[in-house]
Amino acid sequence: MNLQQFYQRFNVDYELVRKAGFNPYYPVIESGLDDIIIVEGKKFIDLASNNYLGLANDIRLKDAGKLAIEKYGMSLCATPIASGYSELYDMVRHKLSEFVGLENTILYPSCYQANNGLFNVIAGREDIAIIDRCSHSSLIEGVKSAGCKIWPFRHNDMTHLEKGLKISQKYRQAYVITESVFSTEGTIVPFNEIVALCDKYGALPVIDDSHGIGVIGKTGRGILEHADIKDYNGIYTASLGKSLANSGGMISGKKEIIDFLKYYSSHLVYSTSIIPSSLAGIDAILDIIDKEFPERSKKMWHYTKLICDTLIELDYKVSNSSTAITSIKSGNPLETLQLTRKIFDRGILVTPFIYPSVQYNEGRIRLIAGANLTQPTLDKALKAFRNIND
Amino acid sequence: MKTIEEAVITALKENTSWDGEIKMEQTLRDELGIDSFGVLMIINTLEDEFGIEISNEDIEGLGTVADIINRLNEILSVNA
Ligand SMILES: Cc1ncc(COP(=O)(O)O)c(C=O)c1O
Repeated sequence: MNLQQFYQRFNVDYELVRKAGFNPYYPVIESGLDDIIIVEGKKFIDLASNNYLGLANDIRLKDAGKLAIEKYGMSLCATPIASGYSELYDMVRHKLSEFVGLENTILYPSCYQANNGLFNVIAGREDIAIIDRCSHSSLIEGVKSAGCKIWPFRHNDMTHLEKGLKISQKYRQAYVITESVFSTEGTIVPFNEIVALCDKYGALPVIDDSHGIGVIGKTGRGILEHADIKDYNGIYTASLGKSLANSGGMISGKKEIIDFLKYYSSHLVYSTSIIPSSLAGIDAILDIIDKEFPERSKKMWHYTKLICDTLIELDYKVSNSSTAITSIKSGNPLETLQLTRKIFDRGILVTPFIYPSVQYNEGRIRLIAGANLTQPTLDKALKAFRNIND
Repeated sequence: MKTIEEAVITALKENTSWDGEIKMEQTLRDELGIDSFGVLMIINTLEDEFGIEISNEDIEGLGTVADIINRLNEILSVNA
């Protein structure tokens, strides 16, 4: 045993980047999310961030953040169970419960942490996690850490899910785990059917609404509103860093489970509290969504449709999206990076996904147009796609 | 009941996007593009088919199609 050997194990494989002559990951952003953003000294149109409603750089959010910093400073430097639980935290978690229509909520510093820490509290070796095979890494790693039986079902395939539920009867508890809007594909879950199947077999549904909250539903309240589900008896999680334009992760559901997590979820109990400026920003954005959702979402859907229609017209293979995510099926990882390079060269920032974000040897390029973009900027982006090979 | 080999090939086809011929020496990840969830789906299908339980430890180190068949043979002979 020696440390030289230890460090030799950690060699990043840059083969793909060498072949593509380009590395799209960790671009250095030098501005806030305006109509035009600055990336490594150059102007870009942002089709990469999850700033769906375009509020991340809104003056009202920034002012709310500033006021919270004035009052509480940058951090309470403590975990929530100790002295990191402010009146602001208390108020915002209840406001979020009301927003999504659930009994109670607890806030983690991120949704990755929330999803990652949830299952080792609620599930054990006697249980089975029936999980959509396209689920986010945070959910996958979360169920793996619980040590339960893992039964992935084919993406959004209800017949396959029911097969898992039939098998699940010999376990103590089955969990059906899925996302509302799938982050790489932009597909949407048939959640009514899932909830009905869970009811039939006594399983507990767990939904990650990170790309649904503030995006879908008549008033932007996410998947439960979208699917018109009342009296949801499962668990709901969402990132507060996408449409809600701040940072943090929520877990909501019945009072019993949230109270339990408050005391037994190590990812919450032993981690410094979500910072005051984020809490104030979430408080502010929920009020803005109440008033401005119709207008902002209209713009977002209009842009999404324009992007989708243009790409289809240009013969791109676009995944079957009924959400605000447009996802290009970009071929293998090398082809994905090559196309990404062309798009970046035209001054458009997008998100390329390769394994393990998508299945092995596949690739996706995701485009999200926030409501902060102006029509001329979007037109410019569409024109760039038309001329991509010139 | 299907033979082990038939069952493995059916499970592979059912759970992956691979539609070509499947050969014993093919590697699951590099040649057939099967990720860890794909392997789990194949194993879960085989559990159902043969009415057995395959533990997480049993799945470790499966690299090729033949590896799955061999591991399944071992498990079935212990259970027999
Ligand atoms: C579906 C999904 N769940 C969870 C997360 C993690 O959220 P956060 O960024 O708040 O940690 C993401 C974000 O990448 C996501 O796309």
